[in-house]
Amino acid sequence: MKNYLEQIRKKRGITQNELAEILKVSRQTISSIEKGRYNPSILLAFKIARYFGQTIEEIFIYEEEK
Amino acid sequence: MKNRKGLYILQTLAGIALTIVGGFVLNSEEMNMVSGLFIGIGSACTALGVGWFIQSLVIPEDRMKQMKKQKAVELVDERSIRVRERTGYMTGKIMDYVFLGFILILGFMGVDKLIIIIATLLLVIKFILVICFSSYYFKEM
Repeated sequence: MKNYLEQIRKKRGITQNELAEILKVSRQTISSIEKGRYNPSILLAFKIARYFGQTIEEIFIYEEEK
Repeated sequence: MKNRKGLYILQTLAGIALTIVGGFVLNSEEMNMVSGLFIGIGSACTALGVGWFIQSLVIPEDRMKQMKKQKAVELVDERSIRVRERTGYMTGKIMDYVFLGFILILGFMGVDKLIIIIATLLLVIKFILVICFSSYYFKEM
């Protein structure tokens, strides 16, 4: 799933490590989400959205499978 | 930290003592099983004690705390959990074929039927467990 996490995180000026610590996940998880290799659970997606004060749709782009 | 090092030394000494008792004191025929148990536990205690002692010497305390914290995060990290689950699933799937091949080889080798039946039973138990857990998780989720 594509997302704007990297851009939003960089705009806030926080590192992957810091975000991982805040969300209580590993740095690799943040990195994988940013690269679109790993789709987070709905719980983690909510945590991320809530932390940045945005909606899930503003961070993650859902594309219907063809 | 000093207390911990002392504990590792104590564990190592206890392990050595258990191994010596198992190997040289309890060496009568009747005590064969107890002796084996003492040697086994003693060896494990010694190896772990020495390992942890060396680890406590090589890795600084703050780095150790950091590593423990990282380990705790990774234990509950959802991606790590998913990786573990997928790894377990793939390993199990491959092992089914490996085990099936093993049973076939046993059959071709002309091994005693009882051994082949026991090996097959292990595979059957595995499939029963798969059905039980699948049914449990289908109801649970």
